[in-house]
Amino acid sequence: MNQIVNVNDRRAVTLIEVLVASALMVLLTGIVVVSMIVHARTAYANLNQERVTESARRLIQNISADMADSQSFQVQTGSSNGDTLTILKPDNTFVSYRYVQAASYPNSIGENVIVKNLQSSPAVTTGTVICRLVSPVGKLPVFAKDSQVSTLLNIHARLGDRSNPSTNVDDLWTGRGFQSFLLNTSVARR
Amino acid sequence: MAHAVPRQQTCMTSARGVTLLEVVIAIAIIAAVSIGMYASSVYTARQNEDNLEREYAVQILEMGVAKARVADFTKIADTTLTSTAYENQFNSSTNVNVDSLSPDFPTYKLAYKFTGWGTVNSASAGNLTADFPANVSKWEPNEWTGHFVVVATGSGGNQMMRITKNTAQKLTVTNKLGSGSSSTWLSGTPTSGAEFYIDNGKFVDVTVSWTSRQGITENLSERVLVPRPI
Repeated sequence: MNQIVNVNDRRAVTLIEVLVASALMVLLTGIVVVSMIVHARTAYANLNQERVTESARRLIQNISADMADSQSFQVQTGSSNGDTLTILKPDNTFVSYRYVQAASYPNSIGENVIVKNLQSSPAVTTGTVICRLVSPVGKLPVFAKDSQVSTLLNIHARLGDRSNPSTNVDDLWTGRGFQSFLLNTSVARR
Repeated sequence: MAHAVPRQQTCMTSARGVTLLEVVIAIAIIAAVSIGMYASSVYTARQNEDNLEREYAVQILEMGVAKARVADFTKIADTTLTSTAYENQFNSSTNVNVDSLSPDFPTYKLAYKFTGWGTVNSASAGNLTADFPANVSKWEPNEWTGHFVVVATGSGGNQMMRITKNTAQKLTVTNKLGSGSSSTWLSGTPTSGAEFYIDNGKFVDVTVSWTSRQGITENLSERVLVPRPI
């Protein structure tokens, strides 16, 4: 069966038309791609920020729960591995929170973690990892007894989402980069 | 015999191009969708900023609450403390900057307000009118309904009554700790100058306020009871 194609009235596409069509296509594609990139960056930043904040909340809730009914607590600082918070529970058992500094430089977060274990010895560096990517704030210890009230525990730490230097500041608009949450709070024992 | 033209045959004589109007409409639709996506991203980012600001506010509030909990009962709201005294930090508000890495973050204001105790100005059957020390706030109407007032000192001291209602400076009380009402003071009518404590402690209202990066003023509050030592 023959195919009938009448091309008598057919005309070619001019160069101008091709250029205009190309320009429009590029413009539209650009708009869509930029929108998707912005959306993806925002989602990425939001998700990481949420994880970091959740990690901080988990640490505070754990310590608050253990401190609430404790008999006493003590903080050991100055060791090469960081700080240890040891809490004496009502049943005379211990709970320890320990900041373990794995990286050579505190500001390059690396795999610095805070672990929780049921030991009283500050030498124990293993346990349940409560927070990852932790760095101290300046020269402040992560855990410290308040200088005026012995039943008050002060906590200072920066929790990040990756091992960049913590000075690599970023924000939610640009997305990629260092997202962090600065823990600067106190927990009371009664 | 005539042959029918098959469907797949094409006749270009009737083909027409896309009009300028159609192109413009198509561009407008795609642009509108893209702008919608972008606006959605911006809105999401701003919401996340707000959430993060609130997370920091909660952290500061909890810090303020923890500090108030361990305060020395006798020194709360004492305006004669030295500047280095621990409890002196509650006598004025402080500004808190959360993170030096985020200088555009709002500055939070942490403030304390005291309430819930004072001395008896006058008392009669079922009523107690209060005087308040400096720094201690008067009351919101009926905010203490259902709470208990303990008269601690003076004639009529060491007794507890249930509060049925209150005004800014006056409590209406009953000696029925559950339901019912009896206006007689259990250990005699308190005399002027006697100390009283609602719920046998001092209340500290901790408030964190800040202006968000969206320009909205927000605040969070929590009330702490510092119990009277026995």
